[in-house]
Amino acid sequence: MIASIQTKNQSITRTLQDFFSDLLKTGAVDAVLVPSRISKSPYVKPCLVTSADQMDPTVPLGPGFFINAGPMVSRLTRTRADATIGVWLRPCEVRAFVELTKLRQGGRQDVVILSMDCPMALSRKDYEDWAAQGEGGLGDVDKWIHTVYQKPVTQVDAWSTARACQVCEYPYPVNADVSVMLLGADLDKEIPVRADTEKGEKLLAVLDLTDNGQEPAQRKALLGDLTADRTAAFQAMDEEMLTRTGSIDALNRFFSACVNCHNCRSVCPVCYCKECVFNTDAVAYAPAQYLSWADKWGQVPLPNDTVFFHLTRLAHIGCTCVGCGQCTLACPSQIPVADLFISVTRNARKAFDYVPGRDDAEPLPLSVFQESEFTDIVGMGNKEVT
Amino acid sequence: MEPSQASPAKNPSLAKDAFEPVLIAFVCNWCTYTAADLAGTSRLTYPDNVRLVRVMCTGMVDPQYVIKAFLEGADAVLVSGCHPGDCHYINGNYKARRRILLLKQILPRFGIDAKRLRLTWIGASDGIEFARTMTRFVKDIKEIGPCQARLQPAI
Repeated sequence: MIASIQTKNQSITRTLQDFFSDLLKTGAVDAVLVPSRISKSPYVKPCLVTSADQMDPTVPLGPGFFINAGPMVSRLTRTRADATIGVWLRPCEVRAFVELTKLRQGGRQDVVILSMDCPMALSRKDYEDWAAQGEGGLGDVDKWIHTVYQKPVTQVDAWSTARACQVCEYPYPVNADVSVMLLGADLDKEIPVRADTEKGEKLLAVLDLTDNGQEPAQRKALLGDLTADRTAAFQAMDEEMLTRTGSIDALNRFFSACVNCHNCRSVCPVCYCKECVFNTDAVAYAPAQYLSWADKWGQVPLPNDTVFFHLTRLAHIGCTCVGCGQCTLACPSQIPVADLFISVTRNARKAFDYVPGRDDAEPLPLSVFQESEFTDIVGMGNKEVT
Repeated sequence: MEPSQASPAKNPSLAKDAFEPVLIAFVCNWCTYTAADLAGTSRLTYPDNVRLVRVMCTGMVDPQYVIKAFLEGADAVLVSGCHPGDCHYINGNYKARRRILLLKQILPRFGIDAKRLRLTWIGASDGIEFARTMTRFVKDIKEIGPCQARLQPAI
């Protein structure tokens, strides 16, 4: 079913805030998870809101994206809470959450996933600039919304969107219960919403939204343009990464500013281990070991295990990286970590014909196997041993 | 390995004509390690370029072991376990196969030739097969030449 929500006072933000309030008031959900400003700071974080009159600080659509909420939904659904939570997520957050549910780190039973055509994100520095130029400590959200949903763009005023967003393969909802179709819509008039599951239908029915809307006429064509633009941007980025990291020497240079803070791991929504091996004694080497390494090459950089850390993470999330770009946003050394991870993983996972977050029923490639598969990688070359 | 032996400046083994590769082989306790044992007791020989690391199952070889081996200067890595259907832990070798496939997609992006990473099944009674495989692998890697990570620290 497709319905439409009438825009109030020409404000998409206000309309969505009221939509969330209505969800709470009608009892359709017991809580909503939605990005919200913290003490009037420009920074937004996903906040769990249970009071219908606490919607003012929320920013449902904007370029602020500093935590992937996938793992937050995982926290909220780790065990049953006897409540229904409406979660408002960007498409890459939905896909991250889907990956976590495959690892039994969370479940869909108690959440209704609301997702949208993505408003994209800014880098941290650009976001601060953008926010500083607006009123009330936040940039011009309405202008942002009206720009990004009219046609495919990577720039709003002076600010370029994050590179992860520029190469995003799913800038539209996948696997949500309710999809909010903003792209190409006449946003001054209405916001079209589509129920994709039974749960979604039920939610829209409680709100008394009738099945009279339709997908914006332009949306399909715009999505095609968006996908084409982003595929081309991905190919350019992939080639750049091959040049910049195509050898051990180049890879060393790429990560030379890394200080082993492991922020990229902390914010990664699909880096799922409860205890990371890089926090264990496995990497607490004896002093003699360092001297041995130094002797081996004439020198050893400290802290070490930098490239090792990144390559290990790359192998561990090789099939599940959703390309949200949080690792780049979190890097204090401005290393474009996501550019590398997105390039490598999007190619690597083709071997398993796997797309993270695409389908709940698709098992994680490294958690399953078939007896007769990939036999050509076994053996020494000429004589295949199977 | 003596540290001083591996220093490229001091180590004549990296010269093109006398290149002696370092191979790390993760071998499973139940099949390939037993085959290595059999090769030994059968007085079979194979090049001493291979360092065996005995693991309980190829299914426990995390990709990071392979990555660490390469970054510390291995010219090639072999993971070898039981034939399909023979795994002591039922299916560890099938899981290893998928991990190796993934690594073979990732490592070449950084200039580490996929040929430097091999997966084989060598059963406990295959002593001859074991010695042959090792000989063959060392010969192949000698032709490919040293891995770049051996020449500079990338740890």
